[in-house]
Amino acid sequence: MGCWTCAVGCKAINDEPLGYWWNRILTTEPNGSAQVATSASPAIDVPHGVFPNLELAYLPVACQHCNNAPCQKVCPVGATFRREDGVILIDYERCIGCRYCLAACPYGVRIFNWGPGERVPDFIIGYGEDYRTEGRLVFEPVRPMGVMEKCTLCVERIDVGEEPFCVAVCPVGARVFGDLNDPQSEVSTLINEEGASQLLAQLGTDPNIYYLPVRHPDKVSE
Amino acid sequence: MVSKNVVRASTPMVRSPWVWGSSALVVVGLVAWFYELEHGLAVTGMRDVVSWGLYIITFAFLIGLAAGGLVVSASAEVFHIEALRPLSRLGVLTAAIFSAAGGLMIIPDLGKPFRILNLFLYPNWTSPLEWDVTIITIYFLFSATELYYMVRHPDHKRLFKVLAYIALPLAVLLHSITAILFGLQFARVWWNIALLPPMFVASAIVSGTALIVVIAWILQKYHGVTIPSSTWRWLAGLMAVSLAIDLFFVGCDYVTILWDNIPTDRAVLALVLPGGRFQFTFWFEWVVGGLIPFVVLASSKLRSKIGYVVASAVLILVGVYAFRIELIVPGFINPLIQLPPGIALGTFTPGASPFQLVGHYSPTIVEYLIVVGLLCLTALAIAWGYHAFRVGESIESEVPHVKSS
Amino acid sequence: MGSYFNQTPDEYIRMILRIGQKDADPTVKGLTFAQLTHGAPHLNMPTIPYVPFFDKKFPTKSGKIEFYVEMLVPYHQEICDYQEPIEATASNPLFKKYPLIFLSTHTRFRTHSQYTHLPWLEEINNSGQGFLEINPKDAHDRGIQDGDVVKIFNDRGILKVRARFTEGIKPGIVNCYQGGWDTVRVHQYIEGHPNNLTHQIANPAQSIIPNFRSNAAYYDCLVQVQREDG
Ligand code: SF4
Ligand code: SF4
Repeated sequence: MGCWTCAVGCKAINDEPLGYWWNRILTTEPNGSAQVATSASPAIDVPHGVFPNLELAYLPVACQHCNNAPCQKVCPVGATFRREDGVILIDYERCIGCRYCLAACPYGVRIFNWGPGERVPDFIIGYGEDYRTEGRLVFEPVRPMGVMEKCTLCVERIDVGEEPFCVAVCPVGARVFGDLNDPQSEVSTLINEEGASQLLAQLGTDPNIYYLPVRHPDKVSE
Repeated sequence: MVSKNVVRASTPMVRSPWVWGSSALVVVGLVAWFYELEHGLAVTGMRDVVSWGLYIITFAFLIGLAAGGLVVSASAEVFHIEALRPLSRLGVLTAAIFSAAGGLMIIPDLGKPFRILNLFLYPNWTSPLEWDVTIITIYFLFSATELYYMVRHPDHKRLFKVLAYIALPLAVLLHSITAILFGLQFARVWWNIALLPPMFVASAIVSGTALIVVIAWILQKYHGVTIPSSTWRWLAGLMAVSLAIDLFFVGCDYVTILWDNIPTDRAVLALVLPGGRFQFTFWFEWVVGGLIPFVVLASSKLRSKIGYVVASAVLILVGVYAFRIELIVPGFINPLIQLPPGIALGTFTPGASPFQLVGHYSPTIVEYLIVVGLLCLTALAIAWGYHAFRVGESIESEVPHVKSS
Repeated sequence: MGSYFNQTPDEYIRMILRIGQKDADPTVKGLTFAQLTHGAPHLNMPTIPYVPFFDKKFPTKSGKIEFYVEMLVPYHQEICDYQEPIEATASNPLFKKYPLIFLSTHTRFRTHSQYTHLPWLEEINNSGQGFLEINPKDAHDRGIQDGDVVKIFNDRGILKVRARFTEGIKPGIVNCYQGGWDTVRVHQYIEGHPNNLTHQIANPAQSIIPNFRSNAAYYDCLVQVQREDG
């Protein structure tokens, strides 16, 4: 629907300063056929095609939590790691800030903490505590300067049985979270029944984020 | 023995104005680095779209120069090029110092420079960067050791022969791995070509030789060291051939992209070809640092004049630097998924969009100061090494040997 | 300001919500001001979603939803029907001078003029800057490139913003989102305001509808667009 609620929600729960968007809503064509914008203007909400034959879809993109994650393979110090359940996380205490992973990620979802960050509001919002998993620091309330970050799939929430925040706040239930290994789960059923696809699947990164097809692309015509 | 020599030899060096000037620039560079430490990498021009800049460009350039040094010195031994023998020690010296400088160049690029030891504490062997760090370390230690033995046991001919046979593949490996660092990244179509390692090796040889030419000229001009004309001829020839090979590789890559019509490939090439946003790299690489020096070096008349050879070497260095820019920055400009609004920059400028669909990068003064500071430090180190390791003597001592052969 | 509003913001909030009093606003009933300002207390929010007219009580004469409105008979508007716009029609002689229909639609990034300069939303919404959606065909006829500053004008006023090409708008129509600010500190249009262009002619029938404040037809507006140098 392109309302950016999940993106703003992400910004709120993770206390992302201005200029940070771990989660973005890209304007594209239905069913992810476009990788490069061919619209009349390089701005959001501008449809593809020529009036009146237009196509428009929104593609929410955050870290794809790849099974074969190039970011994890290139990290020289093993700061980016893959948890057993498939979540790709960054160890804030080990990252040296070389940004090699940023060069390696095909999805452009990694956000580096270039400076101290300009936070609005300037008090801590969101989850607000350190979070550790497997003994490694994977979330801090204030974005740590000089360290690489990205979507954590809200580990601090999923570990206590809650949905990632973007899933929870979506006003139309466009996002579904669940266990891909369980063939009975809602995600597995949806993927099997509707034929979901992965972003840039040809690269073999094997993301754990699947996109369901746009079922009824509404075509505008006179 | 070595240290005594340092003190004695350094005395005149301290007086010369360029040493003072460079030292001042090193200090300025350090101050710039402290400023960067305080305010984070936000003070550079790098952002989340173009996330590597001047530092990594210079890093790749310095490592190339380092690789070239050992190639020149080992070739003398391995291929029995007597004319290059006088430069053996100089080659090893540049290899040692430039590999160290390349390693140092990485430090200001890191967000957490004080964690650099993590590279050795927690190595992740699937990372080409880890391989690169390892090979740079080995390379530095190797050339430093060789240098040490050259000074200590200059007559140990067998040893140097063995070392030369190790040095040559090591130099090739050094720059191949630096190439692979980029070449394996399938997220960046511009880098992800199998041709990158040979391209890097060729550019390393050409730029490394050019560097030695420049240093040799300075020695001849200001330190009264005579470099035999046969040596000059060999250096000129080596530059011409490796320059041709280097440009041949780059040309092959262009042709491949020009022929097909894959939009992502074409988009990057359009940036660097004439008319594109990065066309200056094309002109510097192909004309200023390509065609002009090649014509000069290929003509036997011009080649015999040292002034022309040195000028070509300088142009070549400029051209190779342009090649590094051409590779690294345009590689980032067009992300694979290039849909509006683009990638979030990770910093905020009032009134400006926090997203970039097409990357922009221009280095800031901080970056320039740090890079210039490091280059000055490198030059000072070379000058120091020249005296400390008695490179001048080594050149002179080999000269009669050349004449007799 | 102090001369008009002589109490602190906190005092006004207390006053409006009647916090801690018997007749407090339902959302904060039973909560003290200290609770509201420290920590995160639960507000008394309704647990069932708000559905308009859930009780099926309609404040009309018949008490039903009226498709035929008896009281609008004098205005010939008793049933919904097409009426020629006052201005934005091709038959209007003004159309020769101002051949584009100007819309000022709503954006999902604000509610009218509320939330318009929240920093997060501004980041998504073109850094808070208003822009003119224009079909590339109309733009090319006027020598306008995507991103150029354009002047939108009619006899009533002007508006200057940057052009944004989109095929999502029909040739002959242009749009600039309503609700942006042009105040001493916040400038969301380069010059002018969309409402400088619109007319204020109200539908006379509005006057007899109870509880309805007068409103004008903002999309009934003809303009011309031209490129602005510099
Ligand atoms: S989407 Fe990018 S950051 Fe996320 S796991 Fe894949 S490669 Fe890594
Ligand atoms: S920036 Fe950090 S997480 Fe990324 S590759 Fe470098 S050390 Fe690893």
